[in-house]
Amino acid sequence: MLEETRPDPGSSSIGFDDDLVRRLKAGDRNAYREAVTRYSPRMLGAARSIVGPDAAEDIVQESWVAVLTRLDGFEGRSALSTWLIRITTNRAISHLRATSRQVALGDTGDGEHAAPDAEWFDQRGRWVAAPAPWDAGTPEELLSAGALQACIDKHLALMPVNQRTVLVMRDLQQRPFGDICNELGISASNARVLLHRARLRLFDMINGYRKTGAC
Amino acid sequence: MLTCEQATEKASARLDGQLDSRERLALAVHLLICNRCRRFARQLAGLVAALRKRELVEPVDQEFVDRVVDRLDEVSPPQRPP
Repeated sequence: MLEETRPDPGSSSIGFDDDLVRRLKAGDRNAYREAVTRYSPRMLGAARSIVGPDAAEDIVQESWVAVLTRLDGFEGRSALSTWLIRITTNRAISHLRATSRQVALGDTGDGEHAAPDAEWFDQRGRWVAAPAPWDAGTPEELLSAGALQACIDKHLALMPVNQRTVLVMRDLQQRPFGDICNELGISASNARVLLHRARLRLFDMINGYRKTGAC
Repeated sequence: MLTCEQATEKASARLDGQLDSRERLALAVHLLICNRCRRFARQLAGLVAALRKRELVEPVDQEFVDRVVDRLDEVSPPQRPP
């Protein structure tokens, strides 16, 4: 059973959640339609970021079935959206495991993908050239360009699936490291390597984007 | 003494609180003397901070909502609301 882990003080819709959960638990069909309409976009975003577009809708649909069967166990310690995203992510990971074509989630190699930092360092581990300066002053400025956001989405999809999964769970869903390791069945050291390599891919992409305006 | 390549790995792990005290000290010493790694660490932190502000959202249409609700009805027939 999926458990809630810690309070979610950041939720700004707890009052709405409480009423909706009460109605869902009472079997109110209108509440289900409201919940599906309200939260499916985020669930679909989470599923798609891990498994790609083809399987994402089915995963969200089956996640809602899981929600229905587990709803009595939801105690409101986290925001409803957090719990739903967690269920969806677990379903997506299960789908990855079941798909024989995917690499083992703990594999830290780049596989058929080129290593993003293959030419950054010399044999002594020193920079071959200094990292290019980024003229954006704040994170918001960095990602404010819609084109760059589209590039990030594109390169997320192109990443090795194990790197992408860890990056999504850590940097986009802010999941604790321990949760990531437990749910993926990988060691903390492997998770660190996978996350670092995923971040390097986006870093390298931004370097190129800054230089050429393309990705 | 860390190499720059090692320092980039530590800089990434530092963002997640994954360094022990010895690693934190080694990274701090390296960043004191290496402006290239300082730039990398600063830019990486900016990238990760920006990612953490993003929310992945995909539009859903009414047809999708209907499909899901129909599926839920199959699993658990609707009850009269209180």
